[in-house]
Amino acid sequence: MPQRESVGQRATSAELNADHSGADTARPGVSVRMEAPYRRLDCELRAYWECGENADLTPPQHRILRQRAAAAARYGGSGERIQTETMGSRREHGIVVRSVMEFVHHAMPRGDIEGSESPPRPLGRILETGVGGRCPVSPPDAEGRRGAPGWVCINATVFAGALLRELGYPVRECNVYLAQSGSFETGLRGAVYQETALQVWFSGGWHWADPYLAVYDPAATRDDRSAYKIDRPYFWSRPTPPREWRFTATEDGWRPFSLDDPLGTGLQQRFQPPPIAQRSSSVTGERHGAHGPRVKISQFAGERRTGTATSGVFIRTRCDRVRFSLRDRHGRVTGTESQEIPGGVHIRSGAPVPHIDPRIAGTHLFRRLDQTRADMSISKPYSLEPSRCWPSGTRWALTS
Amino acid sequence: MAEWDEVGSHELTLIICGESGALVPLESEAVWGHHSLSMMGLPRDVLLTDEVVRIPFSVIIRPVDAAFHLQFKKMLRHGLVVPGDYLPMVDQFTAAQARSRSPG
Repeated sequence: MPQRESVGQRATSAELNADHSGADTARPGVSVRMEAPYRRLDCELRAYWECGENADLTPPQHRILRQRAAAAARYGGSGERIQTETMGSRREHGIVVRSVMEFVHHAMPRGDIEGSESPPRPLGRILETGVGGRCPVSPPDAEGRRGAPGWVCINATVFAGALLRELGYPVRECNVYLAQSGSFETGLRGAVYQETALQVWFSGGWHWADPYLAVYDPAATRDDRSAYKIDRPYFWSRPTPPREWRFTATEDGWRPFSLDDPLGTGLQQRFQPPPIAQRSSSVTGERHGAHGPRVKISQFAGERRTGTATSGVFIRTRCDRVRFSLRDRHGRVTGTESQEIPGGVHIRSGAPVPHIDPRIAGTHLFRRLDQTRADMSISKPYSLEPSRCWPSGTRWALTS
Repeated sequence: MAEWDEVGSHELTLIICGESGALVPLESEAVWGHHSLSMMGLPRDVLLTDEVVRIPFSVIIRPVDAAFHLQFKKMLRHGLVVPGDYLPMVDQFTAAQARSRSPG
């Protein structure tokens, strides 16, 4: 995460929240802060989601941000322009968000997603380079080398988040980890890649938005032809900016989405962005596939057998002093005494389940299971993708 | 993802051992992956009329796509594919589906 610059005078919170140039037209997102479901969320977090790092900008930097935000909100992307009347009379938040994503997507130099990293930059520095302006300067990260990786997704996300917050929208930072294969128990195999994104609040919920790839669903981070077959979305849970976007021992504010947590992928269905390789920039005319595939493409489907999805059925009871077991149609039994069903596993009640997929662990039922360890309970996940949440080779698992 | 022979209905029996007369509430939750599934026949609670009670129930794993499933079945019958080909073919099929959904 960019370090905060400590130069000059800071914009005050009141200034940041002021409604510039005539109410909702300039800050269409301010109205969503009054939505009842949003008001019920933690007020400290809300304050962060609404201001983020914008509060640390100097007044000149904030002026640039305001100009860029106004341009981004009307950008429209793909060469089209959003009519001002649309912005003023009927606030289509989804369109505004897409507009900002496309603005950042086109303004930021393209870097190969698997290229070498470029360091995260402070928001103030990103703004001062002129990115998104009429005369964009070369990005400092590319160091003038043609084809060198430019701004990484983190910088694009920081920039987009600042623009959306300036437009009044609450924003929280997100992360997706990608892996080609492996499991979360034994570790991920192949190249593991991180992609950053945002969630924007409007219309009663969070909406996923990735400005670097201009997609609106963490699953869309994986090219459908790519070798990456596992994705794992996280969100930032703290009321202060993340210092590290990668998971480290000192940065534990990243929380995995549980299966109960809606990712907010409605914009993906609504806009159906075309594949990255088929797009071209309305700014440069350059085809985005020019630097090669977004992610590695596996030539053989057989290499991509490790899918992302786990299906399962969990059964348990709160009743004490009972034991469960399972028998299949062939008479094979998996339970406390035996383990005959192929892939079946029995886990005793209260035994920790190591390395369980956090999305599974986050389900309502599993949380309750965890809270009532003293109960005699059973969990019978039917795992179609055993490597995802149970020890390798598991098809069935029981807990009692 | 499910293997070829896992798609379909799984007839299972949940065996509950406990003190006779106990009322055992059951909770269940389904999580879907590529193959959707459903569970049928599991009651919300069970009164243990004996020390051991057996409850039959089914887990149904649906094909990713019905037409694709039938095609694969036909090819399998004619020896054009083997069950091991199923996962790679499903993978290709779902990838093609995803591409066709993108208008670009």
